[in-house]
Amino acid sequence: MRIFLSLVVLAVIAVGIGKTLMEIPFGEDTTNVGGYYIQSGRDDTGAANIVTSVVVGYRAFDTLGEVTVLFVAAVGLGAVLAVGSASGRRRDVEPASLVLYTGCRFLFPLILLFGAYIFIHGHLTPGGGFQGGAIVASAFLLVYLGCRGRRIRHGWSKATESLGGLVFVGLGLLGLTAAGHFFLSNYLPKGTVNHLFSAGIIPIIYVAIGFKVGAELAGVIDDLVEESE
Amino acid sequence: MIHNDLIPLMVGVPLAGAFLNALLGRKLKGVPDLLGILCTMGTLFLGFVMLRLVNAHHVLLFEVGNWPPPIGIAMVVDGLTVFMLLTVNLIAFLVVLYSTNYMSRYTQKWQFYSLFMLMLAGMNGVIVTGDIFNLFVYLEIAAVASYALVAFGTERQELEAAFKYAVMGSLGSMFVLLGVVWMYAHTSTLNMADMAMVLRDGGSGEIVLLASVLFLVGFGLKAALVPFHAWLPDAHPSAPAPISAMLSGVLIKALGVYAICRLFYSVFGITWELSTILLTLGTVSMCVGVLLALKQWDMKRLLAYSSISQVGYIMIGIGIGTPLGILAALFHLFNHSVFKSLLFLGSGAVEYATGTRDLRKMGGLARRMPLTAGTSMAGSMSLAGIPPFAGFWSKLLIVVAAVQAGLYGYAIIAIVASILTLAYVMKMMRYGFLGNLPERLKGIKDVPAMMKLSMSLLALICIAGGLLLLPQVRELFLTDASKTFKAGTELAFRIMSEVR
Amino acid sequence: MSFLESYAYYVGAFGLILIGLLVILVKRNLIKIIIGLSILDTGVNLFLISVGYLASGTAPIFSREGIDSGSMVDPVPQALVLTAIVIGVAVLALALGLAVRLYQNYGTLDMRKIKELKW
Repeated sequence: MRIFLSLVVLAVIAVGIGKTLMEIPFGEDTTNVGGYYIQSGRDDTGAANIVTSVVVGYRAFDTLGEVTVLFVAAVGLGAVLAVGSASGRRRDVEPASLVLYTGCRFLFPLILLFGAYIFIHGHLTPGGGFQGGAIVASAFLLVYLGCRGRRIRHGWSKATESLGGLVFVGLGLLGLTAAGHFFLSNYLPKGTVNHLFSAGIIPIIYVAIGFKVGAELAGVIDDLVEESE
Repeated sequence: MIHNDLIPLMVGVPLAGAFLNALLGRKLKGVPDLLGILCTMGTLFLGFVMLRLVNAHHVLLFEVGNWPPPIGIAMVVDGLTVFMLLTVNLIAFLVVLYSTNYMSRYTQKWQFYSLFMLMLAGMNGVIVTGDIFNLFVYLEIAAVASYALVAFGTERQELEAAFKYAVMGSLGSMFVLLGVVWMYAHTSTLNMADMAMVLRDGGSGEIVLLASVLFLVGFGLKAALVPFHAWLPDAHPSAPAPISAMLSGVLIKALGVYAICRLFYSVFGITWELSTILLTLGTVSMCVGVLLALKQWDMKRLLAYSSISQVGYIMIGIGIGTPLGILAALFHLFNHSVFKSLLFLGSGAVEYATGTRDLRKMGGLARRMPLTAGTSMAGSMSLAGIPPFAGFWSKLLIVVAAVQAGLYGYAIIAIVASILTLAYVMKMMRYGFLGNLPERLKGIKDVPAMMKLSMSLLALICIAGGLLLLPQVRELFLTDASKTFKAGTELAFRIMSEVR
Repeated sequence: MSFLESYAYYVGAFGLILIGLLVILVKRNLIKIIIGLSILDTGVNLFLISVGYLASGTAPIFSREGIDSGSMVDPVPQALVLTAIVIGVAVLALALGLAVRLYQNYGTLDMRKIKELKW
């Protein structure tokens, strides 16, 4: 009965959408704002990667919201998983074999380095703070899965997370005093495009976001792993 | 229309409070409470400042990072915005006062206040933003914070309710995002004013129709309109009382009703079909809510169904579409926020003192808990629509507006629903507060001071709320808000011409 | 076949959306419902990205001097999807945390057994 009803609902949705699908051309140029970003992105923000200039420059308020959502999830998860979890039913975790353990230890700094490369070069190549942060967190996930029994210290991850967030917001607020515009205006020197030290505050913001997201996701993984033991 | 730099503070202050709480509140004991009170007082004060400014200049604009829209994100404050801001932040302030005592029973107070501040920041963000994707982002902030808050005590019921709420809420958000994508694909811009201009110049009716349906489903789910209401009767009772008050009192309105109004009036432009759909959905919600509320024995569940029914009232007022109808709907929105929060806080007080929410297990509480009983009575009278409480005026106005517009059928249904509302209110009063006090409850005391203070202030607003209809006061508060509806897409025209 | 060819991405994205919706509506296991939510999320993001595509376009990155900016795809959907994916991850994390706690409390992941709250 339930399956039947669901299929009916889905069929209605599919038909409704199918009819309108033709209206949106695929692969044709209809941009309005996008065109402006491509034309003026380099001059306004100094970043070679236009997507970065959109994310951290023009629509930086959305990025603030995004960072906040991650923070909400991390705090919420802490609130939901924290209470009463010390039930003492710690199973003995089977230690990892030597090959697995050594392999993970070897890979861990390499993955961290790769993640750091991605978020440092966010304004020059595809990538950025969020992508790099996710890769950094996956390095920690590898350690949890491979070298079982190792933990990151909770204090460090929370501190990094808070620090990263504060740097991001602080830089945005500094825009008020330095350049007279409240919130997130690109006020440091823009340098020459395609150099590492260019694009004003964008690389700094992305580094802060990279650290924050990496620490946050690693903290989330830690909470979930601790809970299931 | 002028530029104003205070607008982002409505989002910035609660965000700062939440971050500071996470840093400092862990170790120091009194910090979370203090930060909570200071932040909500701050946003409430800012709301009043903006009310003065809007009365003088009608529309306030702020461009984030000094990029003009549609290149950057704009924040727009007009009559409706400031109305919602004041409602939301007033209730938030009073609920925070209440929580300083109530949440002592739970551990990890700093997490509660952090999440609460984040939910408030999300709601304020939804209300002030002028960009449709930004609306989605801040909608998600408020929604995710509320999922975590519903599960806050981690009891079995709370977890189950929170999970159901999380899944259904995410479903609604995904529909909203789909709608945003369709609108972007069609108009190639995300700024609401720009979008309105593009749609005016002629758009594909089919895509706008599809996007309207998607938005109606998505935001309707957030506003708990029937048939998207299934999460509310589980989520609102299971949450801790201050969160129930926030959810029922402001969240479903800021995220649901306000978003629907803003999109359908200021961006798409209202049509007769849309008004009729809102009218129908409102009526169905009203009837289903009232009928299901009558059967309930759990105090908070009864109040939750009552919320569904009252949001139906608000939708009817908006669906009627005449200036009087809209004024009445907005007034009822404000009233409902006030008395529903009061009633939820009251039920929380009852639970705090007696340990139960089941109406069959209590009675005669008025003798031992006079202030709680008195304020809850005031809230109930307002809910039932008894003069001279505020609820009477707003319900009367909705019926009058329906009659004036020739919608006699809807007026009759509204009156019948009002009578049934009185019935379940009487049920709650009789079984809860009047009657005989059971043996095991003989030793209970009334609740601590902060909770009493908060409930008394809310009761005061219930009683004095009718004064908002006096002509001088009305001009300041309600009329500007209803002007937004009449202006429709003119607002977009004003903003874009100012910016160019 | 030409319709499918030219609209392949759209059809695929909507297929994902429909599958995700079906899973959420029909399945009973908590984890499967969450997976369905994730599939729905992926479908919507895929649709968003496909909207910005320009036929034979390149990434909007000026990695060398003299790149023809006329053939770049729309950067806005890519920025939007970044945000949307992160938001989806946040919701997923919270839902999984809730599922873990529910399993601890009830001992089962079946929705039918976790029904303490009545109608």
